[in-house]
Amino acid sequence: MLAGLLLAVIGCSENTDNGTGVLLVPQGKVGALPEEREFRQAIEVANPSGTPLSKGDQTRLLAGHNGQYEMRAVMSFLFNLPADTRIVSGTLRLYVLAVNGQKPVNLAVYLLQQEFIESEVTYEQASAASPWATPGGDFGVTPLGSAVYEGAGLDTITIALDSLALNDYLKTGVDSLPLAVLTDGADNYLSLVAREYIPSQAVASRLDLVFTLAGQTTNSVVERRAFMDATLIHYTGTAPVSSLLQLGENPQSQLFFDYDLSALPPYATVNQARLYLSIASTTFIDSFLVASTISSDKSFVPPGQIFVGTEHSVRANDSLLVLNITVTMQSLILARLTGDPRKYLVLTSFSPTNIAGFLEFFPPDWPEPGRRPYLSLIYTDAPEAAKPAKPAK
Amino acid sequence: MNITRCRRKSISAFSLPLALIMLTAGTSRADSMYGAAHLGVPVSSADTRSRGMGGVSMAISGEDFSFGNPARTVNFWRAGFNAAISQDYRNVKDANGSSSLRATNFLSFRGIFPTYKGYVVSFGVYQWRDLDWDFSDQVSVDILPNDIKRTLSSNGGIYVSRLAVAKAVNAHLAFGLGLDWSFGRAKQLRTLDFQNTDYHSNQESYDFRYSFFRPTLGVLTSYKGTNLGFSVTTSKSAQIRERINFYNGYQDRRKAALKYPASWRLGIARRLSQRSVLAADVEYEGWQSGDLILDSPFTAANQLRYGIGFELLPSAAENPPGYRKFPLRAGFSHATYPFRIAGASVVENTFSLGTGKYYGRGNGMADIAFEYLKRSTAAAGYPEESVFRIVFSLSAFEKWTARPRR
Repeated sequence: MLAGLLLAVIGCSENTDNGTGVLLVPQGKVGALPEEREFRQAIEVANPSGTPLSKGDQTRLLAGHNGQYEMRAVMSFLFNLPADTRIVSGTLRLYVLAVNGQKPVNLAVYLLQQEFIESEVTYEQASAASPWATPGGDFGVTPLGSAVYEGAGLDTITIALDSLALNDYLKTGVDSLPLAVLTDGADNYLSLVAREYIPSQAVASRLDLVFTLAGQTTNSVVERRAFMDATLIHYTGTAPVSSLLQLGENPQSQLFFDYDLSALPPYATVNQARLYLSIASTTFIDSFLVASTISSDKSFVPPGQIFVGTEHSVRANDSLLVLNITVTMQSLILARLTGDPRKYLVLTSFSPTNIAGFLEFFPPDWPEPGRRPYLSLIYTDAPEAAKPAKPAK
Repeated sequence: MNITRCRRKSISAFSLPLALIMLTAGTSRADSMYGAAHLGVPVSSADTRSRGMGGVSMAISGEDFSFGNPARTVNFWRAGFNAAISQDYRNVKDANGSSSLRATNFLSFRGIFPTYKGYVVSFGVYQWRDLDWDFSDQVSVDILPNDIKRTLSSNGGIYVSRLAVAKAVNAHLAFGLGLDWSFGRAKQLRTLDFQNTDYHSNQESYDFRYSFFRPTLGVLTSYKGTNLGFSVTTSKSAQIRERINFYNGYQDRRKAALKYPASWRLGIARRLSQRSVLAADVEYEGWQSGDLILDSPFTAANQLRYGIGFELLPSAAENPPGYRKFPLRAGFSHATYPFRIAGASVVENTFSLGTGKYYGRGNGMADIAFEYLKRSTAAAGYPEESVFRIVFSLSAFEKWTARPRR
């Protein structure tokens, strides 16, 4: 009883402030404090290029022109109508998110002559196994419909489609309607809602068909949302300057750096890693995100590669890109400890968001030292007690 | 007093202190900083009664649940169970200031069963090493905009689970043999918190696991009111399994061999009168022959503890004054820790007081001890630690046997 009461009374107060007794913890467990080191010269820098990626998985569709980029929106609708069905009318509804450049935007809708695969379609190919006969999509000279858009965004464009052409197409026995949306040559473009915009809702472009079945006189209506859509992008500008380092989504290129990290303690924790890159030029559509990862060789890292850390946004007038690549450098350190052959720091376009564009950076051998890229690390060595007796190979 | 009232009082007397302790134990914090340098802080294996007497337990008579001497359980002539916990209020002073922490520890549990032909079997668990400690401070580094908060902590302990048998050969001599399974775990963590989201913190976590067996042999002699007790625990080399996780995901597993040194204990108890006893113990652990690797300036030393204690049993008079209705205990112990700092010993001096009470018609017993101890070293710059400790234990005995004499 007495003990219980005493513990209850005295035990209620507690002061957990500390800061004393430091000397009694062995230094082997306390460990070192952070240090800073700059790596001015990479052992190796590589700049491989790749083929542009499909943009079928993005939340926006683009149609129009922006500087040296031409963009076309392609979409496909499923319908299951008998071949002898008569199409009375067809209407395509496009949902506008934004409009850029001069107005009006003159749109035309064309019937594609072959179906595409959303995850593989690019300006060069309908699918991996089927390149377009004409880059940018195979379609006739006569559009199915057209429209002139003068709105300010967040709008719907309604385009009446040629019912005769639709009837002719239906007679071929197809069950899908692939379309391409193009603008004229003016320097403007539309951002449209893609089917991925809200994954849980049907928000894609809409096709309304009024039809009459053979032998009947009553009109019926079918509404369909695009089950596939993508943006085809074509860079029409001159090739990037070869003396600079390129990092791009389209043209597709990545940057590889190999730094001699032997001066770093093998079990160090990277607390902060920043890569400084002086930007020589920027060419992209409305935004560009840079991501990083690691790789074992200098070949182009496929788009399925998981990005490490967070992506960084670059603006059109930026002259310096400071990338926080702490997590990426930690991955490199871990790879070095575990015998993982990945030793290259890779900078890449963040393809899930970037539609097109590229950056040019000054290389390590640039005559002006202030413009050369460099890596700055703040790291802390592991306490001696944590290090294995036999160092990792 | 009718039977129902008696039971109610008995239940409340047992359950209330336990409930209060459990309520207050939830906020327990780390123990001595002196545990960081070596294999934790040594914890006495004495029970609450002995702790009130300066930790002497090797040769005293009566129902005492201490683990020091496996032969001593021959004093039991009825089965008994005992559980003990402690509450520490610690204060550390050094050049940086002072800090105070509170710690609640489970100390021991034991069951003792007299069996056939004079054999007494016992089983129990006690804490041998307290591996709880933590410390944090803030350091400035030129290259960083913020101070770094540096935290090191350890959580765990090494316990000994003993299965023992004791046998009185005759009225003057008893032997005991204990098989000790020492097991334990310590989770340690070092964190460097940069206190700035632009930086990633350091964090290394350690998971140490201990497990080994070794025997303890004990002997107890008694002649004309004087008892002598002696026990020895053999040395043992065993492996410590370690798992270390780094912040970046790197993990290392390793095993380290450690020689746990032999130890021995010697005690004497002398009955001064029918109701008073004086006792003394010496305990030794030879850590200098162990191979625990310590960082400079810490070096291994032999752990030595001696204690002296006195117990005055309750008065046998019909109407004694209130304070004479309880046993009164007092003691002092001095211990040197198993390491030196720059050649200077680390010492712990403990003053203790204690008492106890049988209740439930002698079938239950509550003991309490109050200890005030100081840990310090002559090495310059190191802290002095003072601890006020309350140790509390409850015992329960077979109901059909008579209340024994202590």
